[in-house]
This record gives sequence, C-alpha cells and structure tokens, in this order.
Amino acid sequence: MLLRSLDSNGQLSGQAPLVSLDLHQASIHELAQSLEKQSGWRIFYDSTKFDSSRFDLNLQERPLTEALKMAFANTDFHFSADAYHHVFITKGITLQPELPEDFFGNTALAKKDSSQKAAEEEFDENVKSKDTAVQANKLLVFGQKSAAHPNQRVTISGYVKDAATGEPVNGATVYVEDLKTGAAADQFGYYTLNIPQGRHIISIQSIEMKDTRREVVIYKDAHMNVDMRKQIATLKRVVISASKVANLRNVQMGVQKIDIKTIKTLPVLFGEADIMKAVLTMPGVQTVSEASTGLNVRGGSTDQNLILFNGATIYNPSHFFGMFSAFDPEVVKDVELYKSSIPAKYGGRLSSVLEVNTREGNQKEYTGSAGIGPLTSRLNIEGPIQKDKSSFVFGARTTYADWLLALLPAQYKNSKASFYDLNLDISQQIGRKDNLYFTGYLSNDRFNLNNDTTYGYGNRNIAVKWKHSFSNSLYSVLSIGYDRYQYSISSNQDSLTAYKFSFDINQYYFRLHFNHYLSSKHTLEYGINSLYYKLHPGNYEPEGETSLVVPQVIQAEQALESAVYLSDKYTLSDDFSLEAGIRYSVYNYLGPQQINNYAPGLPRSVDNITDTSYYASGKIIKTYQGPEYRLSARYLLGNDYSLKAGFNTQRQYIHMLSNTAAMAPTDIWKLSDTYIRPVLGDQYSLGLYKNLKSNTMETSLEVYYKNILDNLDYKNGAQLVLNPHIETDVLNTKGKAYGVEFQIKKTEGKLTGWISYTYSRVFLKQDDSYAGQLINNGNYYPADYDIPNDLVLVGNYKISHRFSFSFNGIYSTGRPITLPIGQYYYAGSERALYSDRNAYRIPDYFRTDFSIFIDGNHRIKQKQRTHNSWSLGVYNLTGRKNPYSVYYVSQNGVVTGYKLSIFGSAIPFINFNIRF
Amino acid sequence: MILVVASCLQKYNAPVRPLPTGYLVVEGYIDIGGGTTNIRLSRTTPLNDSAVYLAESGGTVVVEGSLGDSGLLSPQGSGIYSAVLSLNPREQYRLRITTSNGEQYLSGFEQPQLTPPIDSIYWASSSDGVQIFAATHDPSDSVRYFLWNYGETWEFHTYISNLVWVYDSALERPVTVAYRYPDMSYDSSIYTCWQGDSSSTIIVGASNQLGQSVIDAQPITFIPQADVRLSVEYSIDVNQIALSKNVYAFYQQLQTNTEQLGSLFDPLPSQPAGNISCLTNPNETVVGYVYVSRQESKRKFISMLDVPFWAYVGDCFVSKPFYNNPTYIQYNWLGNYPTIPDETTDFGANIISFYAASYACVDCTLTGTNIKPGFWP
Repeated sequence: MLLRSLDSNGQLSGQAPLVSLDLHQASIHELAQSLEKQSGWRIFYDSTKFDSSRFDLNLQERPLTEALKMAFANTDFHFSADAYHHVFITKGITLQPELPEDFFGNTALAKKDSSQKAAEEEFDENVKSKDTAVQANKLLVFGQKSAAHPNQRVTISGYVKDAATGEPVNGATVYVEDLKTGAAADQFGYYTLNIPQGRHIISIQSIEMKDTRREVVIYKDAHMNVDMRKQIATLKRVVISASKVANLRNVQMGVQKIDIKTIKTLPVLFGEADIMKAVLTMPGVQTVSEASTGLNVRGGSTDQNLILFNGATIYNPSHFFGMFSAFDPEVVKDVELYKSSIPAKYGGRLSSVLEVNTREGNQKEYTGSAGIGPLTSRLNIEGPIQKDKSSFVFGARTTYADWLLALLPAQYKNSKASFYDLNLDISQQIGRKDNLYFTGYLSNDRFNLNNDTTYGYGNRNIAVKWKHSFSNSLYSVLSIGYDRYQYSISSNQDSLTAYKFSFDINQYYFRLHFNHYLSSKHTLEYGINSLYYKLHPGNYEPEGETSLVVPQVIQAEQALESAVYLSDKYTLSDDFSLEAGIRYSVYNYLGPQQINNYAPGLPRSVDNITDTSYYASGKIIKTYQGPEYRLSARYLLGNDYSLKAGFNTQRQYIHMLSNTAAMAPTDIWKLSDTYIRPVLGDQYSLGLYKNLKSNTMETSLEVYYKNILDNLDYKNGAQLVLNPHIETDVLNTKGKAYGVEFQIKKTEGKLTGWISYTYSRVFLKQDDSYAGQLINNGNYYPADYDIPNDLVLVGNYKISHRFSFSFNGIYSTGRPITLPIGQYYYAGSERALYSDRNAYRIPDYFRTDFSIFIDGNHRIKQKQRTHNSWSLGVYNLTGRKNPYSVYYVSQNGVVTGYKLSIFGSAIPFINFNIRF
Repeated sequence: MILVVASCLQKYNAPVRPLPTGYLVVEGYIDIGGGTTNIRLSRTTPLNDSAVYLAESGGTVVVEGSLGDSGLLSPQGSGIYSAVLSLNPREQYRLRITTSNGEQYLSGFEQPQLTPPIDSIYWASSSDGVQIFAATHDPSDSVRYFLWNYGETWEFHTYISNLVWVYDSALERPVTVAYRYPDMSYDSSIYTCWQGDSSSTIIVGASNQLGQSVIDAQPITFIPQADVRLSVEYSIDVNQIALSKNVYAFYQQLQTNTEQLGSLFDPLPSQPAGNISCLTNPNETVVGYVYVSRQESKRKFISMLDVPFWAYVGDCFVSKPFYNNPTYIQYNWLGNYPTIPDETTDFGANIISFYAASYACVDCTLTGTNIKPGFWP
C-alpha cells in the first residue's frame, strides 16, 4: 500500500475537497461520517482508541485536511491519506520522521517500515478483528517528551469495557509488566494506575476475555479506555501469565467471587440457576437445610449477612418457602462474598457482605433471552437507549409452581403457590465524567395453605447511583435508594376470627463514597452513609365486617444508622501491602415510641414492668455508637505463594427474631432498642495462598476465630410475633466461632471446578443476667447452625464447545437439634421430654447432582438470529433421603419419632433457553 | 414435564442416651368450684420404655392458700391424690408436695379462674366426616383462655348370632351348629355394647384478640367418615376449664412441642417451663403446671340417623357359608363363630349351611361393655 504521510502543514491540502462542519461534543464516528459524506473520501480509524474523545468544530468551506488538522490540534491523534482517497486516523502513533527516542527500545527495526506497519495494522483492526499478538505492537503516546521530568510519576486511568456490548469488565487486571504492579478494574470497569513517566507495556486481562496489551509512552496524566473482546476458543490454550494471580496479590482475604457463567454450570434443583445455592458451595458458607436460602457464614446466623443487589438491601432473597433464590440469573453478572475482610464502606451486618451485581446491558444492540423450565419461565431483554451511552436490562420471571407443593409435607397439600420477580437496570453515561445508574427490583411470593391461610411476601427496591470523576485519580459515587421487605398472613376461614397480619421493613439510605488514588502506594476510600429505618413490627387487623378481631398494632419503630469511614490501601513494597480501614457508626433509636421500664435488678418479665415512658416523634431514645476496625495485610512469599492476615470488627443494629431452624419468610426483624443491644463481633483470620501449575490451580487455607457479643437468642417458648414487650422473650448471648477453610480450585482447562472443605464450630452461651431463665444451665451450647464438617466438590468438564458435564458432591454434618430423652404422661397422652437445647444432631447430609449442557450452536462471530441451549440433569443422584428434620410427636396417645426428607428421591430436570 | 417426587416421612428413632432417673410430673388443677381436686403425680420414663405411666405414690400433697389456710389431699392409688376442698375464689392457692424420697416441691401461687358455662356443643358434617365444636362466652370478659377435654361414648352393634357350636368334647372342636334358643332368637346381650375413650390431644383456645370473650367455633374432635363411633349413636361429654394466660401459654407450648411438629418451619422444641420447683434440689426439672380453676361440662348426643351419610362397614367379615358337616367344619373352622343360617330345610329346623365370623364380631363384650351407661337415653 502506498502511503503518503501528511504532516501538520497539510501538504496535500490543495487537492483535498472542501468541507463545512458545525460539531459540538461530537464523537469520532459523527466527525468521520460528516467528513465522508461531504468529501467522498473514506476515513479509517479504530473506534476503541476514541472511546471518550469529543470534538468541537465550526468551519466553513475548508479543505478536508485542514478540518482534520483543526480537529486533532493539541491531541495525540494523527492522520494520513493514500492515493485512493483513504484517510487513516491514528492515535499516539507518530508518523513523523522524529520518533520518540525510546520507541524502539533495544530492537533495531527499520524506522520507516515499523511506523507504516503500525499505522496499517491500526486501521485494519477497525475493519475486522485480528489476533492479540499484533495488538501488542501498538504504541500510544501521551504528552510530549519535552514535558518529561526524571522520576516524575503520572496517572493513567480509564474504563475497561467489552467491545461487543459496551458493558464494563469488572475485575479486569490492568498490569504494568515492567513495573510488576497493577490494579483491578472496579465494578464500573474503572482503573487507575500511578506509574513513572516513560515507556510501559500494560497488559489487561480478565476471565472470559481475550488478553490484550497496550504499549504506552506517557509523559502526562492520561485517560485510556480499553475495549476487550470475548474469548472464544480457550479450550486447548492455557494462558500462562504472571499477573493472573489476583487471589495471591489481593490484600483482602476471605473474599469469594463467582461469576454467572460458573453459577449456570452448577447442577441445581430443577435446573433453575440459583445464585444463593452457588454461594453455598463456597468454603465457610453453610445452611441448615437444603430447602432454605438462609446462609450461615463462618458461624454467623442467617440475619448477619448483608445482601446487596446493586447496592439495595434484600431482606429475603428467596422464593417458595426458601427453596429458590429470588435473583434472576439472566440479569446477574457476578456475586462476591466478603466473609472476613469486609471493606470499610460496608457495615451493619456481622458475618458477611454478599454483593450481587447485575449486568449493565448491551450498549450496542438489542438482545434478549427466554427460558422454559419446570419451575419458571423467564424473559430478559437488553439494549441501548442511546447507542454507546446508555443501556437497559430488563428481566422477569414467573412460576407455575403449584405442582411443586406435592414435594412438601402432607399438611401443604391442597395449597397454592406462585411467585414472580422483576428487574430493571439502566445505565447512562453523561459526558466523560459522569455516569448514572438506576436499579429497580421487585419480588413477590404468595401462597395459600389448604385454602385457609394466605401468605404473601416480597422485596421492593429502587436505587439511583451517580458516579462522578473529578480527575484521573478521584471519583465519587453518590447513591440514594429505598428498600422494603413486607409480608402478610391472612385467614378468613371463620368469619368471626378472620384477620390479616402484616409486617414490613422500610429503609431509606444515602451513601457518598470517594475513591481516591493518591499514589502507587496509597489508595484511599472514604465516605459517609446514612440509613433511616422504619419498621412496622406487626399489624393484626380484622378482615370482613363480621370479624370480632380487635386490631392490634405493635408500635412502629424508627432508627437512624449513620457512619463515616476511611480506608487506605497501602503498598509498602511489591511484596507487602496493607489495607487499613476504620468505620465509625452511630445508631439512634428514635421516637415516637412507648418504652416499658423494668424494676432494676430483677429478671425482665411482664410482672416486673414498673411503668412506661413515652418518647415523642424524632426524639432520640437510645444511642449506640462505636468504631469498627478493618485491617488486612498481604505478604508475597514468592511468585506463587502469599500470606494474609486480617482483623475485623462489626456492629449490627437490626436483628431477625426466629425460633425456627430454617429461615422462614415470616420471621420478624427487630431494631436495637433500649434493651436489645447491637450485636458486636470481631474476627481474626489468617490465610495461606499458593498457586500451582502456572497459576491454573489455586489453593487456599484460611483459619479464623470470632467473638460474638450480645447475639440475640430467644427464650424457650418465646412469643416473637405480636409481642409488645419482646424484650421479655429474647435474651442476649455471647458466642464464639472458629474454623478452618481449605480450597483447591482449577480455573483453566477442560476440567474446571473446586473442592472445598470447612471445619467450623459455633457455640453460644447465655450471659444475660436479666433473662431469668438459663439455657442449658448457662453453659456453652452449639448454635442451631453449628455444622462442623462441610465438604463440597464442584466440577465442570467441557467435552467440546457444545457439550459439557457438571457434577456436585456435598457432604455435611447434620445440624444440631433438641431431642426427647424421655417421656411422660400428661393431658391424656404420652409426651416427649426434651433434652438440653441442641444436645443432638440430625443424621449427616450427602447429595450428588449431575447435569449436561448442550449448546445449539456456538458461532459468536456470525450473526445468528437465535441461539438455543438445553440443560438437563438429575438432582440428588443417589436418591438419598437426606433428613430435613427429625421430630417426635404424640399421636393417638403415643410418642413417635419421624425423619422428614423433602427431596427424598432423585429429581430429574430439563431446561430450555433461547437467546435472541 | 411430569416429575413424580414427594417428600418422604419415615419413622425414626434417634440414638439418644436415656435419662437415668425420672423427673416428677405433676398434673391437675385445684378445684375452686366445689368439685374434687385431683392431682396426679408420676415420673418420666425413658423414651420407648414399656412403662409409660410410672405412678408416684407415697407422697404428701397439700393445697395452701395465700391467707395461710391449707388442705391435705388423700392418696387414691395410681399416683392420684384428691379431696373436695372449700376454697375462696378471691384467694390464691398453691401446691406443696413431699415425695416418698423426701424431696420437697412447691408450685407458684395461682389466681382462681372462674370458668363460664359451655353455651353449646354442636357439629357439622362434610363428606370427610363430622366435626364437633364447642361455643362459649364470658359475659364479664374476664376469662380469655380455655382448655377443653372430653370423654366420648358410643353404642355399637355386632353381627346377629342365633347359632352356637356344638362341641365334640373328645375332639375338642365343633362338629356342628345348633340354635342358641329354641325360638331361634339371637343373644341381645352380646349384640349391643358401649365403648368409650377420652381426649389425648391438647385443646386450647383464646379470645384475647377479640373485642368480647367469645369462642364460637372451637374444634373439639373430628370423627372421620365411616368411623365406628357414629355407627349407631355417639355421645360426647365436653369439659371446659378456664386458664390464666400463663397456663394457656404452657399448654400451647406443650401442644407445639409434642403434637404440632413436622412442618417446614418448626419451632425448635424445648421443654415448657411449669410453675413447680424442687425446693431441695433447685436444678431438678419438674414437669407440669398446677393451676386453680373449675370445670364446666356439657354432653351432646349424635345419632347415625342425624348424619346425612355414614358409610360404616367395620373390619368384620362374614365368611362364605359353612356346610354343616363335621369334616367341612373341621377344615374351615379357624376359630370363627357361627352367626346366622344360610340354607335350611323344614322351616329352618335343619341347617344345611350357615355364616361365621370372628369371635369379636359376634360378641361385643370382647371390645366393649354391655352395661348401658347411666346417661344413655
């Protein structure tokens, strides 16, 4: 190809056609289109290089070359044209005779050829995709060599996005090879690096994406967006890279991330990809029953997990009595669980933070998917609102699950159940510095037990996030939102006693978060949070005119939880880095509220109420406050070996009150008040991480010890619902939990998966002197969720692009229960005499599942209108009758023991999905 | 996609360590209405032990009033201690127990509850069976919590039998049949009998969430379709006892923990705390709640003829006709009992063949009593 360079004097200007332009904040695409239309010349450029460039131009009847010159004045864009009226626009590549003196490094290439080759290849990329090896040849120049100062550092930042859909690539590693330092892109795909001036090779990697590299010569702070392409053929290739070691290099410990692709390969009940069940396969995460999505993380109770759906708190993440999770897998991108090093920006729960992140939606074109399974039908649509600037994702699921009730114990026969959930996420880019995100979520469950009692529950969440970049190294995220969880129970079997009971939690929040990249050694995060709670703990009302039910309304509760935080990620050396954070939270329990006063020194019981105090609206009744420390450190012991340690403290001001083993939709939540203190917890943890086989196998060993103070437990026979003096029925306990978690994970190759083993114990002890009644004589007793041994095996084997097999194996110790140790005759029947609380266990749990995935086709490059896939498998392959519960009842005057299994046989499933 | 899967319930005996010694169990109430106070003392037994009821005898049981008066209950055997005491409805009472091994127990003082009368006992039938309800109300609205129990009695019939075996004393087996009475009539004394039972479940109800103390449809018991109890006539005697809130809570917990388990969201079971403590060994578990109340009763009769449809068949089968010859009887006898003739000659004088049934299907006194209860109409 004959190539004529045009220098800034525009030698060819005389021959170029005349153009007129009036552009304001135009993209390169708009500029090129307008020029091509007027000149008839073809303009070639790589759109990925111009992601965020904007042009302002106003000119009349000027030569094309002059227009281009004006457009690219004071930028690092260059242009050239050939004899066939082709214009090539390049970024960073200087076609001048004088190249940067360090351009060629040690290799002596012919200057002329090299520069031409670079330019040509740059143009080619726009027309069709090319292999990654060539991309490494690109050179991007930021600033002038003349601006160079020895030892001066500059900041480079930008967004990493998926070239095909425009979605951010969360967690992409941006790694400077020559400096051996790097950063991970955040949830917005945003990264920041602080590097010395000069020439660097930056490699960008992410799971499922083709690795890419950018060669830069940098003299000033710069903005560099990176578009990554989906990796198509990875089956045979094993990428060996020193930087694929996020698990080793990350300062945080006890963080588990699982992306939706992995979640979808796990065989699950009825083939319904289940986010919460996937989380349960992670080490340190347990549940008391397979029919429950309640998580017990490192000896924490089910209410001690902060479940954030795009930042919105979800109080009940389940459908259908807790058997299925309430998140639509089609809109979820990934799930991240923090069980040890909880970032300082999060607070309010003791055990863990579970972040469920949704996808941002395709910014380029409309796509969608639909699925049919035995449990639900689902539909998902996404696409651009404004191309390359804004997009939406909408997902909806609904069920026809009545037949499922046959699975349940006999008393649920003749029942009806239904549920649905809706998601809408919108993201909008405003200029170069601002992004707006909207999340809306609605879930609803309704079931009718034996045509008598109707239950309904649901979550409602709405949130708006505004991200603003002040500079390359500082950005803020402002979020405001509203979360609601509600349930109701109603019965109208007997018209005299027809009632409706309802409960709800509402929270309004405001969060302002700053991410400040100070230098390559320090990254600060700081911000303030404010959360206003409003709970209606129980309204019991008559239904119908004949009902004699007297309305009973438990006073609404209000509270304000505020916090400020600051954390610093401090890199002392390449080997040693530290993250230290502090969060100070203040909790105010607010009026209007009537508080019972109890006689001092006596057990808290109704008989000991002396009087009540009334607090007016907005009056502070009780304040709790305190610091929370978040410390973690990482030390690299070589290329494939690291040691981490952490210390964390947490405070929790809202509590779930439950005396059932499984998390029930009708459990009530209670705010800390005059008598119910916040739960405090601290955790010490230590971890060893080693990667094997070129970082394709990750192993980890973590140990932890936790202290729990003022954990809320209930008295034997407590009344938790509609109790206006609930403080008399609950008691404060202290707890200790400890455990070891071990995991081997294979991330590459035909066979992927992990084995994790957890040994964990959790004990509680009643130390509340006002409780009156002592549980197990005041000794330590195992908590309801004390499950010592837990072994999980998850494997996926890809036979070809179109076929893969998945396998699960789960073994765990049975949960503790209280069993009868004797019997006696009372009220006309033999009755069971119960042991100390949780003195026995139900039999151990063991389950294996298997599934096959068949993809209809796998041609991503060719535009196929639809793409379908099948999944089929068997849940509980061995048909083992795993016990859900063991109980003893008096029937016909005799005590009889039973073992109840919910999924007492092998359950086959089949699912069909179609994408369009 | 039809999947046949179902939850699975199996009988199960958990490996538990049996309790070495039995705890004291105290059941009963102090009768404020002039009736007999019956207190039953027993001991807990190991689970699945053959001895379910282990009576505690040889103890001393005293009712103490808050004003210092007291009354001794006298042992009646089987761990029951009783007396008719005249008590003051405005006074609180408690129970003091000394067992034969010298341990001393004391209950809390309890306020007397004045049970209102039962308004009615009524029933409703459906294709599934007959549900019996109680209705009551307290005009003073002071009683809000109730306990019910009942005794039930039913008349039932067996197969008519006007035949008897004629035994060969040498062979020790019947060889032929003959009429029971010369006039060919049947034995009515083994045809009509009565059987009875008492409630074995806890029946409690509350009106505390209503504006007035009204209970209009308290389910008492359910008789499933075709049950023997309604095969002829049925009678239920319902007792109603008013409870304080705490006693109600005790019974409710006992009910939850021993009768209502097995759902998806069971409360974790625990031993309900009563109001009796051991003075000599404060850590000892004592089962039971002693309270002060009185009993109101009402009886209701239901005849099979009142119920729209009752498909009682029973589990008695009449065998195919026996031939009245010694060889046939020898091989087909099997302990059965002759009922009525099948084929006869000479106006019934000679029996060619006859029907037979198991002995209990012919003689009702094997399962009931043929003495008509005094209250039976």
